[in-house]
Amino acid sequence: MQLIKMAWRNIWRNKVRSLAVMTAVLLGLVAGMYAGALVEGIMQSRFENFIDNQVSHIQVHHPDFIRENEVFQTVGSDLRTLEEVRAISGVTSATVRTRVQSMIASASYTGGVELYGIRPKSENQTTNFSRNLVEGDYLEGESTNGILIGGALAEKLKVGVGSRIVLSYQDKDNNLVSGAFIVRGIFKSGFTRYDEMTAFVFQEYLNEYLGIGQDFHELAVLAEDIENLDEIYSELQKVFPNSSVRKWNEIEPALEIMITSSGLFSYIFIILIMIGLAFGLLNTMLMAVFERTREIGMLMAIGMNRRKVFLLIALETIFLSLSGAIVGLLVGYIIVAWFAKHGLDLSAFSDVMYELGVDTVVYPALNPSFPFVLALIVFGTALLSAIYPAIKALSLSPIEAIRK
Amino acid sequence: MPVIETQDLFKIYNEETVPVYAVNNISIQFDTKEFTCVIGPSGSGKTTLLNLIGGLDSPSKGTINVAGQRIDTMSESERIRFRLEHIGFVFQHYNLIPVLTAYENAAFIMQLQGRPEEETRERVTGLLEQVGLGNRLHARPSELSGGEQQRVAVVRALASKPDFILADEPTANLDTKAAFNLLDMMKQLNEDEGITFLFSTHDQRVIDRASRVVTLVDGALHSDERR
Repeated sequence: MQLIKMAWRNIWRNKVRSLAVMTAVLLGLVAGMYAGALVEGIMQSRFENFIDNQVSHIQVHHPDFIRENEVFQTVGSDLRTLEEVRAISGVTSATVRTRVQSMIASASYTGGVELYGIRPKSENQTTNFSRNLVEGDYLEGESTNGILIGGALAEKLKVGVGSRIVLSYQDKDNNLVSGAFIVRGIFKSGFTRYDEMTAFVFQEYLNEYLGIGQDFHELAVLAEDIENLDEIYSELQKVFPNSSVRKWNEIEPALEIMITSSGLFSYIFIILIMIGLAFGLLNTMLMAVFERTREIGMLMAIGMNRRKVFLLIALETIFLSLSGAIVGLLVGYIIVAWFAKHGLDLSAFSDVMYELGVDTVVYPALNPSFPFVLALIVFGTALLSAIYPAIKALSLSPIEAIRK
Repeated sequence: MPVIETQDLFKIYNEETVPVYAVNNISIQFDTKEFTCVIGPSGSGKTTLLNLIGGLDSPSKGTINVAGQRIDTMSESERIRFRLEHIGFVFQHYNLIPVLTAYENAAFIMQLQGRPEEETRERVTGLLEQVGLGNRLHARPSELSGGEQQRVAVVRALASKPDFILADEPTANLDTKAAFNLLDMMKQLNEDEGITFLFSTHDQRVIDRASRVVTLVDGALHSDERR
């Protein structure tokens, strides 16, 4: 208690110097928190776009379909299983798709695309895909030769809504079939590559060409809560014992790595800031020790042991940094909370954001454990910064120190 | 009964090159309740002798017994503990802790010793009142005069009931009135409570009040006068 009181009062002996250090800690933490929250927000946006627009949470395929991509490698045709899936606790929606590799051609361009045959209603319930349309209409009404293509692909094909394009693909008997389609709508999913390589048509219409009846290649499931995925995954394995059931992170492991490493990036960023601050703290505490040489010598002369002298210097360093840290965390939290509510408009960088698959308005998100980890990092930095000044203090000879 | 006893004590600097005998073969005893001054010209070894007796420095040769214990063979950490429990220090520059009040400064050593709070409060408050600082308990050192600060330093040294008090030039920075007040106070503590004081000083005002005057010249014992 006595040491705590002394340490706290000691940091206020040179108010300007201490306030400068506290302000540095405060600004460092605010910058670190905001950067961390921004990265988290960007990653959340990317993740949500990816889940919502592309893969959903869980997909079911024929065990060989992902590797071989053959038309006949379907999950089945029994739509009762779709109802069974929808009935699983925690499942928000589910849809089935036909997938086939195809050549797409206009008068200006020919290229490869992944053609999806969808059931528009259930697809929209699962991926809310219609919100991505930037021109034209979603696939609705009776099964026709309407097609949705990405904006990037439309640019390559030099087509617009109402244009006619030709798709060629192999049917289940490996015959090459072609069909003419009319562009109904143009979408922008947030992922340029996806938009270049993907097109959507009515499943019923596509299946007719492929000759696979009501079969489907992919069943996509959207969960209410990502925390419940394991339970839904187990249930799906029971419903589809002979199929490949995969979670989003198995379908796209790179995304999981990116999300995990983004958290790491935030901590590395904070640690770099803290290393800079550590030198400031170390310098301040060294000055404090040199200014108080006689006092520290006196303390050792009258019987304060080395452990307590070390503790005194460490406590001063900790108080100095934690005072700035507490205010910094509070200010950082308020700033992040404001932007989390109102969003940070990055439309000035819309091209870059689009390439990244991130919305132009980013909502910074704070991982609940982040402030606590930050406080721990500050505490650790303070302790490390205290070591050298404390060693300097301990190396003082009481006799020499008192004479000064 | 001697509270301090040195035997064939040497403190030699530059032993390997040109030896300087800061303390040269001193064998001396100091008894309890003595009010002793160690005097001598600058460089005579007064402060070095007090540092050796106070366990702040190690001798080159010889033995030092304080309160029945050999302190010359103790490790540094043992000496720190020993100083805390057995010796009170009063320094020339007062050396109070600027961020603590008069009371907190005076109570500091007892708190380091881990004495109960109630005992500390009673003892420290009583002593501060005894030295005329009962109304300055909550004043910081910067709010006290030099004489008042030195009185707080004496109370700090006294509070833990040490076996003796070492005072290195305690009046050097005080004006005449403050010096007399301080000396009267210490003399009274010596006479009334039997506190043993050992001073190093040039100050004639201190020497005049001493019951024993030890004179050093060139690190060696020159005279030992009991009054």
